[in-house]
This record gives sequence, C-alpha cells and structure tokens, in this order.
Amino acid sequence: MTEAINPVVYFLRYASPCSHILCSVRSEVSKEEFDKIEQGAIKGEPLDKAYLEKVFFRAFNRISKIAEELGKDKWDLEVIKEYFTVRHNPVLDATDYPNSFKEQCKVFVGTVKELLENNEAIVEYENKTTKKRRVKTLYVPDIKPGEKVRIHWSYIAERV
Amino acid sequence: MCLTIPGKIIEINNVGIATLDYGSEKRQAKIVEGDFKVGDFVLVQAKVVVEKVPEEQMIGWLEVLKNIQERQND
Repeated sequence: MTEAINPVVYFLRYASPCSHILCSVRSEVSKEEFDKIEQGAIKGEPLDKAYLEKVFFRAFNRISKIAEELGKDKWDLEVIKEYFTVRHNPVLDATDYPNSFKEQCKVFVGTVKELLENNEAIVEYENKTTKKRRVKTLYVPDIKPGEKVRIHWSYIAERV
Repeated sequence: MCLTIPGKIIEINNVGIATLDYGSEKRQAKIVEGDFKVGDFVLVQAKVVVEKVPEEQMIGWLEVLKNIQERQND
C-alpha cells in the first residue's frame, strides 16, 4: 500500500540525489543546501516551493507542462508523480548521455532483496537484464526484504 | 533533473564533430559555434556542445561515477 505523503516531501525524495549531482558536479547547490534537501526528505519536512522551483528549474520546466496538460497545480501530488514515475525515464532515453549516467538517473521499480548496515539495502530490478544496486533506505527506514520499491540513484524513493 | 554532466573533448574532426570522454563511455557531439578545443571540459545538449565548464566539474563527475560503479552490480 502506498503511503500518504506531502507533495513537496515526495518531490524531495526524488530530487535529493539530483541535488547531490548539482552540488558535487555543477556547484549549483552548496553542501549545506544538499544537506537541507536530504534532511527534508528524511524527516518529511517540506521546503519552500519557490526555492525548489529555482534550484530544480530544469525539472519544473517539464513539471509545469504536465500540470497544464493535466489541468492541475504543478505541486499537485499527481503531477509530481506523473513526472518522476512516467515522464522522467523517456526524457533520459532520448538523450545521448552515457549509459552509466542514465542507468542511475532513471527511476526503476525493484524488490528489496537484503537489508544492510548503515541504512542501506540491496534492491534487484530489471533494465534489459536483472541488476542489483546498493541503495539508501533513509526515506523508508522500516522497509523490509520482499517489498516493492522505486529507486532513483542510490536511494529508495518510495514503496510501490 | 540534472542532465548536466561534463565530458572532456578528446578529439575534434575536420567537420566539427567532437569526441567526448565521460569517464566510462565516449560520445560524439557537434560544435556549432564557440571556441572549443581538445582538452576542454564541456556540457552537451541535444548532441551539440553548448558550454565550457571548469575542470572541477569533471573531477566531481568522476567521483560520482566511482560511487556509481561501487554500488551497481550488473
């Protein structure tokens, strides 16, 4: 069963890994900002919407179009979910970025195979072949082996 | 979301097609305008080289890539 969640917190759970890229690669986000975004996702504490729209302007260019298409506010949970779980992967597939990057950036549904120390787990998922990834369970600390989840970069973003 | 990883230009052919090294894979992109040369670290959009970036960004990407490879078991 999927959990009820604030749309901003839902967004943070998927955006947090991207903010790590924006921090460590692009320097568009400071380490303090990355920590704030990750903590917001962990603690379920929404951040300012205008701030997030500014930091993740590339995503909101697309989210705004989806909102218009669906006739909903861009911060409606259905709109944010549509972006991350439906529209996000095809955008990546259309690019010529390295496969190692696309593999991580895309969102996959998988199964928790094993819980590890330090809030991590092994998740098995399909992408042409069966693959395994070590991911953080910080956003779903009570997750159990056998549960279906969505993964994004090195995080479990949500239960399915 | 981020679509912003840098690559290093390792070759430019005589029709302005650059070969980029992303650390794990190589890709090609067209130089339409701008003063790009071998050794530059650049961003690409829609297979066009669009922007030169500092070397630190490439170093940051290679660190991310190393972490990816440690976590991923194909």
